Amino acid sequence: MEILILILGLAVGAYMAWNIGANDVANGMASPVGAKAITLRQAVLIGGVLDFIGATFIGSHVADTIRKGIVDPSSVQDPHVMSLGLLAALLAASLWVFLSSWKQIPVSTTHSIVGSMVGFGMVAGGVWAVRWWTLVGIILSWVVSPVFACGLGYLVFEVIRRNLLSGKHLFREALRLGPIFVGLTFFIILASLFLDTPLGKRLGLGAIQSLLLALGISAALGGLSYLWLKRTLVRRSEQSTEEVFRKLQIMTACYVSVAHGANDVANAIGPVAGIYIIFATGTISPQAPVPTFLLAFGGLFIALGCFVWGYRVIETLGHQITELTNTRGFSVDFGVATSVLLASKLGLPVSTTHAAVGAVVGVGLARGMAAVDFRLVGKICLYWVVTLPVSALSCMIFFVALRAIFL
Amino acid sequence: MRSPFVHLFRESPFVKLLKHAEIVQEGGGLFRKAVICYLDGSCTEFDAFHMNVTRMEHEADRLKRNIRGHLPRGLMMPVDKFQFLLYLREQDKALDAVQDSLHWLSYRNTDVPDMLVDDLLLLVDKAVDSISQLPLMVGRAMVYLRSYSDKDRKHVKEVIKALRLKESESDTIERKLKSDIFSLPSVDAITVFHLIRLVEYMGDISNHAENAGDVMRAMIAR
Repeated sequence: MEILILILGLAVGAYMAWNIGANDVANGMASPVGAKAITLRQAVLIGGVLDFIGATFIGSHVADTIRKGIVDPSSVQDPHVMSLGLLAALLAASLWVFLSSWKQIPVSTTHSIVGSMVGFGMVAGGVWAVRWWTLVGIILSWVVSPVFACGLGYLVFEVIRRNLLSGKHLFREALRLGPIFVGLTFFIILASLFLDTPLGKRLGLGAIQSLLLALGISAALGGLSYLWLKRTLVRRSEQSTEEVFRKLQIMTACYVSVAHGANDVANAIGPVAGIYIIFATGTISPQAPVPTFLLAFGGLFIALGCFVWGYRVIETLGHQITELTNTRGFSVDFGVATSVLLASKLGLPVSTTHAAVGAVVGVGLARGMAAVDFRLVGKICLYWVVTLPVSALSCMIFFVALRAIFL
Repeated sequence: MRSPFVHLFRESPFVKLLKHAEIVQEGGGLFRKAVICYLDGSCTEFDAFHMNVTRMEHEADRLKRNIRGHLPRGLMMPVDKFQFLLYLREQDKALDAVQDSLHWLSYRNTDVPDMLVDDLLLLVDKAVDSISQLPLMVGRAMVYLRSYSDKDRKHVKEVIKALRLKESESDTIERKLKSDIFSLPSVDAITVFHLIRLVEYMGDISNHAENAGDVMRAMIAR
């Protein structure tokens, strides 16, 4: 029975990851394609490969939260019940994700899986099996992450607009600001890679050492980008700010992909990891870490989803969001990736899509967009309110059905 | 596909504003032909030109309502929405003034004295020149609001300056014409009244174009 649950879990997890790759990679990749910073083929390749890297190397924190942060493992003593519950959560979330993709409803995979886990916890271990305080923290992060991305998007575009776009000394300002953005981006990525991750532990890095190493490398990369920008700008003196940011946008596109992989892989792999650990150890074993190969498995299916279907979504969205020029796309991507990556480090499952909406609104507030419909934010909030109970309820139904079949 | 981005981005209201400005400009071209036709006693096409301008004014009005109707409260734009609507109103009023001028001409067949013809045509040219600047100004504003570059902002300001100049020239011609009309020997009061009001309507065209320029200046203010 355990092997059957594991196989089913892997299959549904793979479907979830594929769906995430097919639909959500586009949120970060459509704007660089629309602004012609990268080609469609490059977008698919970057999205797939870097999502895989983000998922494999930084994805463990959020996966842990999904696996054991929402439902208290000690309240569900029986490992079989736990396995079935995790499978039911996956099934419910994937059904909800399938329906929303089919009907084109902007529902987040994150919210679906969190709602499903809550449903499972309540039916299997009672109301107090759910770690409500953790859940409150997660729900708060759903508000904080788009608002933070909005603030960052606003700030970055305002800095670009004031100092570069409206300024008289484009080259001087581009040379000054470009390396700062590059350095900052690499610092956050590298700090995420080293700080409290299996990779950091393997390298024997403590918190301060990780930060110092990230700071050193990112400063060096910032310096290199200064030399590269200086050479490129001098060679093409007629360049506009948008063209300068076309180059920098390639970097933020990569940044978004890493952040997306790091956060969203958990939606597919968090429950699968729980099922696998029960299968491998025969116990719920909350201390066991999420196996890296499972994160890589999730990353692989995200990449496959992106390769097989994602390019169509990127192409469609890329044509629709041409408003996001290089400077605007850069600001949005920087805001989204920073917000999502920081949430990932804190183990908070947040919606990359909603962070992206927040960042676009931020750039809109900085007068960067021709017409952004703020009312969409209200609709998204409504879907938040609906997604949680609906996915929780459907998970309860799946769980009861599975329990009747297997136990 | 379940991306909310599809519903997040709306068409820029400036696209329709540019179309509105182009209609106003087109109306200006017909206005010139209509006045020349009126002054040439043997021309029979005045009514056709007049009707076409009226049709265009309706078209511009429809577009104006459409723009207004698609600016909901939650829509974020790079410019102040109130100023945008004010601009639209002034741009629309420029074509209204064109139409009013032709309506006024159509009420009476006044034989315009030869000594006024040159200045009257000059006033028409200034009015038409003014409204011809409107699509150029909107187009340049669209470029500026995308690039935010100092160079593109200057391009918009150049058009605004040109509008002011044309309005000032139009005013000078208007004042001269009024003075000349009152100095006409042996002309009946109705003719004087018809010509004076005509000149005022024509002067309004440049006034509204200049007002549009002033609002645009406020819209692109840093």
